[in-house]
Amino acid sequence: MSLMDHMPILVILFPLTATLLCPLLSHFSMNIAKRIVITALFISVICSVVQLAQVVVSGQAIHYELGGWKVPYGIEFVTDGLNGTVTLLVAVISWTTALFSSPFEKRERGSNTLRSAGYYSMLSFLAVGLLGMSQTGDAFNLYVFMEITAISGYGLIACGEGKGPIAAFRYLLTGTIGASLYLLGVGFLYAATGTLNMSDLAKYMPEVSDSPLIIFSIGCLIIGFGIKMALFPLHGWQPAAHSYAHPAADPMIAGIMIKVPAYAMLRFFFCIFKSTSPVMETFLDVLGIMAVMGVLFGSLKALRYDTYNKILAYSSIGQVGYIAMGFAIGNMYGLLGAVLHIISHAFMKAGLFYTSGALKFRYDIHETTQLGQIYRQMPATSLTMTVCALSMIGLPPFAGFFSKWYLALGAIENGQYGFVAVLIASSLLSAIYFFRVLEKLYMDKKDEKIAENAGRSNKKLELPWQIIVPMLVAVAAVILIGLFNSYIVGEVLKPTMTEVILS
Amino acid sequence: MMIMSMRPAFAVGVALGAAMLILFLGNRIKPNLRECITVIASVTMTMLVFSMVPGVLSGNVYVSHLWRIVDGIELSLRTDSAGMVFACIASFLWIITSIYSIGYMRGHHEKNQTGYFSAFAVCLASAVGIALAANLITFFIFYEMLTVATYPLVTHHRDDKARISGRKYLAYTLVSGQIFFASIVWVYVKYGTLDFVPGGFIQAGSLGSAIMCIMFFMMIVGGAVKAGVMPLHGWLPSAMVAPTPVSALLHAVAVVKAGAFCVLRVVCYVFGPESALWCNGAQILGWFAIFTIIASSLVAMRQDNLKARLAFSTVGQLSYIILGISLLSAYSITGALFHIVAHAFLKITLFMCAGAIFVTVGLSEISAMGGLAKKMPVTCICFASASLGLAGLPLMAGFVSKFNILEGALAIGKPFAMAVLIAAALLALSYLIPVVRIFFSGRDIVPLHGPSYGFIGRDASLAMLIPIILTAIIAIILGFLPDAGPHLYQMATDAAYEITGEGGVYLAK
Amino acid sequence: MTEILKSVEYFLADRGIYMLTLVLLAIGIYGMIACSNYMKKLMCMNIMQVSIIFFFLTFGQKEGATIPVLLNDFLSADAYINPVPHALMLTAIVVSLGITGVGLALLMRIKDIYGTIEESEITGKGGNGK
Repeated sequence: MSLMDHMPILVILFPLTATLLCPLLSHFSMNIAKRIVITALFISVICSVVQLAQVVVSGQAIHYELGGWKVPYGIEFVTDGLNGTVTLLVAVISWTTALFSSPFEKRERGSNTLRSAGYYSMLSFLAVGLLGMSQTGDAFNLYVFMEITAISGYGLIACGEGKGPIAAFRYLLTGTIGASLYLLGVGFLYAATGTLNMSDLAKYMPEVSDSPLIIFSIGCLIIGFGIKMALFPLHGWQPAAHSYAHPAADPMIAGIMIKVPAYAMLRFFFCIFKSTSPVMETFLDVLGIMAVMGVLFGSLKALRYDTYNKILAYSSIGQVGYIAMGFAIGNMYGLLGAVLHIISHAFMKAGLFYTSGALKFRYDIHETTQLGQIYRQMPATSLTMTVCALSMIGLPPFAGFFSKWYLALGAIENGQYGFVAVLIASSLLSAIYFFRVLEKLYMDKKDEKIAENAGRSNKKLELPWQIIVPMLVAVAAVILIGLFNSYIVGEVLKPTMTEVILS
Repeated sequence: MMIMSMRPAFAVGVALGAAMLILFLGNRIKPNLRECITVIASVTMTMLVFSMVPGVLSGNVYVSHLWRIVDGIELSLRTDSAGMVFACIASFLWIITSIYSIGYMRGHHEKNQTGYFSAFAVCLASAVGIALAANLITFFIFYEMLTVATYPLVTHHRDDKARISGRKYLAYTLVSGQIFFASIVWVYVKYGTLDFVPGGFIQAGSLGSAIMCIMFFMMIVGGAVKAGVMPLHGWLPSAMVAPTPVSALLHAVAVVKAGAFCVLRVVCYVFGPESALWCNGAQILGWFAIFTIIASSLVAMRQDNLKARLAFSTVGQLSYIILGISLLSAYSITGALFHIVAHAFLKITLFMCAGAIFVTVGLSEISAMGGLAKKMPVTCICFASASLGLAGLPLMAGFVSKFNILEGALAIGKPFAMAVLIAAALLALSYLIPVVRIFFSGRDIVPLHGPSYGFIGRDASLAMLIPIILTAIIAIILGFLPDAGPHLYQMATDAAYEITGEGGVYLAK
Repeated sequence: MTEILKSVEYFLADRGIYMLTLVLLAIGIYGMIACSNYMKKLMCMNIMQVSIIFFFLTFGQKEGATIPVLLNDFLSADAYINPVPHALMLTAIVVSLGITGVGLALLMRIKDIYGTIEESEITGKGGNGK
């Protein structure tokens, strides 16, 4: 086997190696340790691009058996168009976030390099977990990666200032319930079928689809994934966790940590249960109700806050509702919309949290009321904020509009006009809270404290380039995904969807 | 004949590129250089658009298929006659407004000029995109871009008043835009296509009459809000807080015209005359237009602020276009399309006059302008002639379009619509002529010379005066020779007959 | 007396053991919600995780079967207990240990910052904790 055949594992191996090397190397030089992590994540971006290209060109999924153990005895990584895309998404945002963290780390380093090393180690471990979750084809392996994600996530949230540790502890409790229920669901599945491999599960499902075990299992999985992806009413941990996490790690936590479980939910529901289980329809209806409530609750709640991170966190609850709505619609366009929204929202939300981090980095701004006229000092930040906010509202030609387009298309095809009304209502609500932020950014009087500081810095760039590059990546992604969405949908996602999910 | 050409795409691209350039370079280069970008872009765009006129007149259609924008639909631009009329107007008036803007913004020492010129360019790019869009999704993308790009212009002054009117503007346009969006998706699911077809692609009777009527109005509301059809006009008068060139843009060139054009596309190219009449949508729309024409004229008479009076006059005049469309005869559609042209030139003249008056003598209330003609004779003469033209005096541009709409009403036997049209012309006289009378009254004017107002000699500065004179002259020429220049009248007629077919008349059954 | 014991035994062997694990799960989750002391919450979390481990082990059990180790000669596959749930649970135990460790570390941080691990006192100090 040549190196090209090992892409699925290489994607994960590099960040994993970096995770272990980082604390070790930090004893000699923190800068080298940091660069190792950033480089490893960059390599994993390249690997995931290569792997996705392989899948798209050959038109079939890559099955990679770990350690050469044959399926279904061993663990298998399966990469098709769908999770190849999610992997790429995770890799890109992990890499940019690692880059983004660099100036923060430099500032906070002090004499204690172990803290910095721990931060970077956890960041790359989080990437390992998320990449693994999106690559694996084994239900129990998914649990392990989910807990890897969770543990490193707890650490990164606890790194945040203020209430960080408490938010992390609460997330730990709730997240563990979620993961345990997922494990319970997998247990039911294993008891019913005797296998853990996902494609194997799908194969045996028709024989046992009437079993009450499957019903229990679906119920457990909805709650389990629901907690992990912060779906209303299981979102309790999310606002605090997203608001108080370390500002440098926040883009990753808010951007992709709640998206990958959503992807996993899609895998389970539509690869394994959908076509076989008679109760799936009912559960999808339940999911639809949760989605609608979540969309409305998140958007309404976001209206109440002036704290930038809080607005973003609650808007995430609403946006996750969009994704769940796509699942509830359940036809081709609904699912395409959901997956496209996973991708586009990851970039938009990461972009917005980059701006939040940048504001904290330069002026220690937390409240939107302090934003007045800041665009003169920080044009790139304001550009990112504007583009991502417009995309969140769902205005063309940005990415957010097109995922909404597919969702609406799917909903009307199914005759679910209520979902369309909710989509419209929520974009209008998000227009209110995002335009309020933009209004403050462009029209408020300058904050006095900031006006004092403004003259002081005479650097060429508004921020270190490590902060600017991730923001520009997010802006470029939001625009390009928007304009060329049909190629992502048509060439990459649709073939996989027809083959694997809606077969 | 269909000609694959990138010219329509370049026309839009030039303006977008200029917007980017201005945004990124704006504060790093000299203002003169920055304004150069605007002027060069506007001239290039106009030349690109006008270069396609002969081809369109001889029956060719230039099509740019750009790329697949969503699954199954291309982002494509094509130059049909109706679109060309609007594209010609928008691109040509961009040159004029940008020259005028330079004079106004400098004369008035406005802040944030970089953002202003950049947003202006985006507005014009979207306006031409709207004109040339070949299908509803392309149309909607440019339509929402226009909505967003206009917002910074409306809120240009960044004070509390601007903020409130900006919010109002967004509330109206975003809500209607979202409803429009839902209806586009609905149409796509039901009919499987979004391409504009003269005469429409929705068959009468393919849905229940009431359902189709709902669909019709969900689509219309997108255009009706921008076109200021009552009771959806609320944002338009309050958007008056913006600088005057923006008002000119809003009222004459891009925004409200885009709304009216949206109504045209929906009624004539999506539903088609037959379905629009079958579901009773066109008739109801007509009644809304009639109500708006009368009511807005009555409101306009009571406004003392010159710009507010002009704003309500816009609301009324735009409803002429809507009425012309909803009558659905070849004459009335010709009239409606030509009224886009006529009103553009007339209203831009009026607004530029109002802006020139404001910058030069600092006045915005009509009652304080007595004797202005002594101070600014050229401006006042232009204002007077444009007022007469707007009221529909024969041999002026407004007359051509209004007479066509009247003829259309006659052709399908709607005497009430005729009566309204004639009454409205008289009403238009009654709110514009008093302004002119005040200008030329014998009183002495008291200019408000603040330090911020550059008071230059007798009349307004040349950068403002030349565009005013130019548009006024064009408006008069179009009255004598409607087909002068790029044959806009001919194109309007072509478009109308494409829509209605040879007979030119559709009667409600 | 023996009859009662026997019926209990029967019940447990059939379905009841699962009920008991579910009860344990419920106790765990209830405790996590009801206790106000963070340490107790963490302990209840452990109870919950143990219940799931029990669940896996019980359905992996088979009457009359032997441990899945090849001693002298291969019996038929029926003669062995399915080793997979046990293997899985070894991993799950490690994971739960890890999470408990992180939880304890967090508690130490919280104790450092707030001087207490009572939820009511912490939220009383810093707003409503949201």
